[in-house]
Amino acid sequence: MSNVISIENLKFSYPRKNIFDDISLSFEKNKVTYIMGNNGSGKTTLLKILCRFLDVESGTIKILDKDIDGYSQTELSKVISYVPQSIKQNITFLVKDYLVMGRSPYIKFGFSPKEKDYEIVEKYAEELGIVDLLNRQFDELSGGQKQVVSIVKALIQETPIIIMDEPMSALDLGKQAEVLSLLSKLVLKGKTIILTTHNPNHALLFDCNVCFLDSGKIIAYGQNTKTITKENIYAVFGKNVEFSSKDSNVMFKI
Amino acid sequence: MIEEINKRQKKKFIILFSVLLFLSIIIFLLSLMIGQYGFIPISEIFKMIGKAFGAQCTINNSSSNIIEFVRLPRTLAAFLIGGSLSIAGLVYQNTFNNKLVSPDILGVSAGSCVGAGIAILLGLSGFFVGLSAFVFGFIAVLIALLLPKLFKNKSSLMLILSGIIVGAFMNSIIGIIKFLADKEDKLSAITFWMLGSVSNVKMIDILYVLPLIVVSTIVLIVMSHRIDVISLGEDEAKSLGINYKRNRLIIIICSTVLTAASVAISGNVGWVGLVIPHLTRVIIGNKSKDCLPLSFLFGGSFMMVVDMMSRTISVENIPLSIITGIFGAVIYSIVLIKKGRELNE
Repeated sequence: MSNVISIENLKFSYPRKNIFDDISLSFEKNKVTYIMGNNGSGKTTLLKILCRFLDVESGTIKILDKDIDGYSQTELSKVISYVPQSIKQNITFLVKDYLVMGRSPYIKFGFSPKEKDYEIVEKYAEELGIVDLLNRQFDELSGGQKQVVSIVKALIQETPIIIMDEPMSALDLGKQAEVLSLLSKLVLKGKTIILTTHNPNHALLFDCNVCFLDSGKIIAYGQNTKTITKENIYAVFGKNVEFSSKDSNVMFKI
Repeated sequence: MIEEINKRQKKKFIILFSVLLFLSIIIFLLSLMIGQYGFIPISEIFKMIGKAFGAQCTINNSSSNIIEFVRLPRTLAAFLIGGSLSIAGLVYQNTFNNKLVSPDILGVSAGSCVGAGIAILLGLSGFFVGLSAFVFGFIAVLIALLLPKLFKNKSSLMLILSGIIVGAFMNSIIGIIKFLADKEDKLSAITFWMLGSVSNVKMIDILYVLPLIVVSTIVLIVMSHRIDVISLGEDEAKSLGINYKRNRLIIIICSTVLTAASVAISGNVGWVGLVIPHLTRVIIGNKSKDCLPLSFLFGGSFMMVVDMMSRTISVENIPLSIITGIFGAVIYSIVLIKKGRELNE
């Protein structure tokens, strides 16, 4: 059991809001880790710190045993890819041209994407069944399609670690299931995935880790079967829930 | 499949590029032929070109002078400033991911106007008016770049707001300069300069700015893929391995050089940098790699046409901004009728 990311004594605050006061945690290799919590609990902030979009006040972050500040921007982008939460509306590129930007870490200054980059785009598009979207303009896609496309862009980046901020928020039930099964497949291929969600049900479908955050503090962290309990959910979301089990699927009832 | 689409796009680009290049050459020759000192037939112009390349031709001396000292410099200037302002506007619109941004968003034009105004006020020669315009344009952008540090917020929005602050401040200074200027001659010179004109451009002026324009344009074309990535915003660009701040700074410097160099030789010309990039995008799509060369040619030919109009409609040279403003408003309205719905989404 090895860790791809380890955080020690992290302290971070926005100008008028204290977020993390001293947290330490690490992320396991080849595993999906869900970060769960209410709005304002620090989920997105944590992801942004891991991607180095935000500078921390103190603490150390090691990615693949190397300090995060030791990476150049390009090196870091070959290790971690990022799927943003709110996908900007006014991206007017064709989907293929948007996707090929996932190859940017491998394209040197002064060069443009080559045929082989587009071949990689096409390979992933075929694998994920979005070939028919390639020639469409990104801003004309539905919210769900946009989210799938931006996940595919992260795959095209071919990084061992993928960070996703609420990748399922705009997806309908069918697409959610598709993305969830995609996540479990990616883990089999050796990827480490860290993502945020509001929905505890997502974390019950396969073997994964869960980190419960509340106001910048870790309430519980570990294997989903051990951490997703009535007590923890009450502590984080303030709601009493009951487990209901139909066949093999466990679901919550509120 | 992508290969096919890319091939089709490339073909479209090559056709459009050739058409625009051909059009630019035609307009260029036309612009040498017509104007205030009468019509010069195309045969004369070809003879002159031949002579410039060492052929034995007899040419009419007065036509030769008109071309060499009047029409050639102003036509070249019109082409260069049209192209430069268009690509400066295009890369700003992409960098700030805001289609309503024009090249003077960081205050470069207002700064240049202050520089030129001061120089005119001091009675300096044309060369120093241009130089002062260039320097002050750069200073204005520098202030706009430094202000966000003071506000402790380095987002693109803050940068645009800083540009607006600098622009407003510079406009007030222009007001003071105009107020102080001698009503008889200097005020009209300042006003005329602020509306833009290539009527007094000399060949030497062009030679000063040409290297600046060529270098900046090449740098931007080389960076076109990065400009596309940067248009996705700071976080996404960073996650794709782009050093956002450094690349954005290079882009801003190049655009500022292009705008300041244009303003230095022709005064302040509005609208081109806003409208031409829009039109180019409607025709070819959003990729900077395709848009940059096309909008340079497009803006260049547009400006040559505008200049031809400015010297043929009336006996006096009509300032360029008046014509670009009328054209711009009409063209922009048409674009918005067709594409306007996309802007509020």
